[in-house]
Amino acid sequence: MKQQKNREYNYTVALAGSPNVGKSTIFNALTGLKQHTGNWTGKTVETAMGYFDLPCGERIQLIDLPGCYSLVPCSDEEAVAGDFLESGKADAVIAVLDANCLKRCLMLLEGITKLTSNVVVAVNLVDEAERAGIKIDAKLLSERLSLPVILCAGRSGRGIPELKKSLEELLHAPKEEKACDSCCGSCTACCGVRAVQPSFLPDGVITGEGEGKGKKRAVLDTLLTNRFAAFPIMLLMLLGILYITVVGANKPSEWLSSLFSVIGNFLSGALSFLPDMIRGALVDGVYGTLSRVVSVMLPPMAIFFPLFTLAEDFGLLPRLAFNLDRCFACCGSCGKQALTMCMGLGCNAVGVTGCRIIPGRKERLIAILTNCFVPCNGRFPLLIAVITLFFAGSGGITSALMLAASIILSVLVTLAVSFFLSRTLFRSQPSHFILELPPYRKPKVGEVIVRSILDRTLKILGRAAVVAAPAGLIIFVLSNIVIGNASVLSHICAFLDPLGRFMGLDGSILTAFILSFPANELVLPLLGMLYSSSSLLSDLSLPALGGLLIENAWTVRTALCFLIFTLFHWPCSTTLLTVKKETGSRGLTALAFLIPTAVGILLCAGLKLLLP
Amino acid sequence: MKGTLQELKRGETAVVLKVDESLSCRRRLEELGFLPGETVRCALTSPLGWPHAYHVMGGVVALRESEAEGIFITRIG
Repeated sequence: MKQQKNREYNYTVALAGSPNVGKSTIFNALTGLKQHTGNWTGKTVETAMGYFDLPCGERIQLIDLPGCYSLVPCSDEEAVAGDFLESGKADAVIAVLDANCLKRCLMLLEGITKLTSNVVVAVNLVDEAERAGIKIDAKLLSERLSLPVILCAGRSGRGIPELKKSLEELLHAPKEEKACDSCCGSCTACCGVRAVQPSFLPDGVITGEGEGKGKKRAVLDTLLTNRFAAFPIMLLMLLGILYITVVGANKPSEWLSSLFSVIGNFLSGALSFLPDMIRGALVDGVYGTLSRVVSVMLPPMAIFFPLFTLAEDFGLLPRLAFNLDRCFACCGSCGKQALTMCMGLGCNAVGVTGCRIIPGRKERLIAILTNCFVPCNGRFPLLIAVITLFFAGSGGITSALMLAASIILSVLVTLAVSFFLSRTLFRSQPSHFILELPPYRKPKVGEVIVRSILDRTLKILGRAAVVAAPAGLIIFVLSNIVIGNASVLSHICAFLDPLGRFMGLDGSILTAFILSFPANELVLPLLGMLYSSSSLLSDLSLPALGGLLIENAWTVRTALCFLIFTLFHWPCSTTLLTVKKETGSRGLTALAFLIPTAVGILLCAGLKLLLP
Repeated sequence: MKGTLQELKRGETAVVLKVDESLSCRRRLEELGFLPGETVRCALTSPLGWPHAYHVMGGVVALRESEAEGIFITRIG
């Protein structure tokens, strides 16, 4: 995501509206920033800031507030929106309403206008409304509200120039603020909802009932929530995405590792004037780890993430939460946890932040503590690599099935641990589950693919460089410092070996996991380095890694335990820091570390006992 | 025929009478459109039984059984 530098600006404008009305789309259209606008309510949990210029040349600082249904907050993030508007920091507010449910949006508008009269109303999603047979008379609405009204379709940019112009007119001639005159002094406590009657709008403002497009949506919804078809369909979709990821990532991974091998050999030769240790540190340590991370991790991520984003933008996630809510409710949790788990599939830290969408404190904490049971993008390729090496003889389908099984296992363990937590640590009244199901929207395929690949590419390369380079260096150094009759690294691995064997793994694997605390992407590359006795850069490809594993006494059982531990071990450092930030409690952060670790150790040990 | 939203089956329509004051999420429900006089239709049911999704005031809102029990309605179709 492009960051715009902090520059001088003339006015501050807030973008307010209910969840999922397209505020962020309008934000992107105005500022040119590329915030992700996933198609489910409550996606925006933090305020975003951007800048754009009015036709007259003056600069606006635009704040995209999290969506709220009214200014009387039901959750912390709704309080953010309300507090900001009350603070008076905004010179004007763009109130974004949904043309498809205009009446409902008026409640929030009423609340906003009680705080400030400097409001421009943007009626968004008019393209959807027109397709559904709904027409809005902007002029009539404007007269009734005594506010400028612009019809917009954020996705296509329609109405944006008029919006800018209207904003300019308003800012140059701001209305005088007057106190709310229809009730007592503390407006937000009593105004808002009650003030708007269904007859508030005169006839003619809205024409059409909007049943036109509703048919297709109804069919799809019925199918996705059908008693018999729902879960099989969702599973098939998951399998489909995983299959494409596994098959699609295969060849690019090979190409990348060949390419990096060639470059590595060249580097080795070019740096031959350096002393052996230093050259080894640079080429084997830094470059070797870095290139292993990229060649193994990048291709699967570059495929999975766009596919998942497409499904998200289409609107499938709320239906998932809808279908699964009962399971979560039985475990004392909330269906929205399904959404945070999906976010965790991308990155566990993002999933933890996303738990803000869960209103109940108990449910939110449970979701935060169990989020890392879902394999993030950094662990996905680990799973794929080991599955490919040990189980997928016949190709993509077996891999996809095993990956799907891994995710299902994650979900089951999440439910079990949530159940346990809600009965022990977090006993309290269950809160409510109210979820809006937004309409399906065709994702902008090209844009999603390009943006996901670029974002992921840059992010992974960046993180790989920052983390893998020093980590590789450290490993190299540790493996070459000798104490007694073995290197420091060997001592560490030997020390951890008994615990490792107890879990069906070995000391080197545990060492690799421990050293990958900053980023899970490091596990396989580090393991490769720990196992390979030669210090020369050898083949980086997957089959070579496979050979290395077999040489080190890996069996199918080891591979299974490895998969289990990959799914269930401590969260990475970024995630732990995020947990601390979101919960504000060291005790909870410690729990976030201990719970998955304990689960991992128990499951691995159990598996080892069960299998010969 | 009066009752609660919880009794509304898929495809049936009703008019909201009021939301039970003792419901802690009452305000949120009203913000989403469950106001006296509004038409509500049960559109979807989860494969596991609950929650149900209701068409109300232009949007589709999913509610658990416990919430639906707190919304009083008159069935019309």
